[in-house]
Amino acid sequence: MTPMPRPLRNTCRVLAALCLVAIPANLFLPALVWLFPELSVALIDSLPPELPSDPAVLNAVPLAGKLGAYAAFALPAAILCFGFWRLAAMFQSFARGDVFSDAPISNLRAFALTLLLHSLLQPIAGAVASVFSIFHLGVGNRALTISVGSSDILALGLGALFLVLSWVLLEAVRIAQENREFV
Amino acid sequence: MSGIVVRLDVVLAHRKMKSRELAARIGISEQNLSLLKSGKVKGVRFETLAAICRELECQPGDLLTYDTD
Repeated sequence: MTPMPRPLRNTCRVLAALCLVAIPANLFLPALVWLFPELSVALIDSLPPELPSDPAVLNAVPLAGKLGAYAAFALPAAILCFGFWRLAAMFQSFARGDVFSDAPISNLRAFALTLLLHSLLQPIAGAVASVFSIFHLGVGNRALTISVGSSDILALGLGALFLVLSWVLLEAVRIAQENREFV
Repeated sequence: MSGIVVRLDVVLAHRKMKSRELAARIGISEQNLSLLKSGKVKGVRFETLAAICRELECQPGDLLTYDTD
């Protein structure tokens, strides 16, 4: 166990709590947007660009279309939730002073992989959701929209960065362990 | 099984010195010295080896031998 300064321990606890809060938020806030577009105007801006951002247009989508669009985002959202859960576990380990061991590093690696997977699946989910959201429109008004934004690329880069960092940390732990076996 | 045999306990007995005293003199823990005596370490730093040789007035070859059996 590595002795951790109290402010750092508290910060890790807060970050772990925020990660846990992000799990239900990530799952249920999109549902709120689909069910009550007028009540969640602020959240509409956070919808993927493939989807209509006008509450009136969203309201016109039939329930089956809304459910389909929500289901399309469910897989990347569930993957990201798993990532947040592992990230929370990592911060909890840090708060206990367990920094240079396998457990927090494997949690960081898992988060990195989920972030990579999420950023790859999100544009596909957006395209599928766009089909569900315009399927009720007549022939000629339907369009498949695929969009890759800067946030997707940023998430991909961050995922790759965290993955490399976890490898470096794992190697550092191995060297530290080897060093401990020398007298 | 062939390998390096640590003969620190023999040298300590010849010098009539206790492990605790040697550990204190060379600045390592008794636990680490015990691990070294029993050969349960991956390696010995030159710094530690030099300190042991200095305190026991011996050569590295007196402490370590290669066993072919």
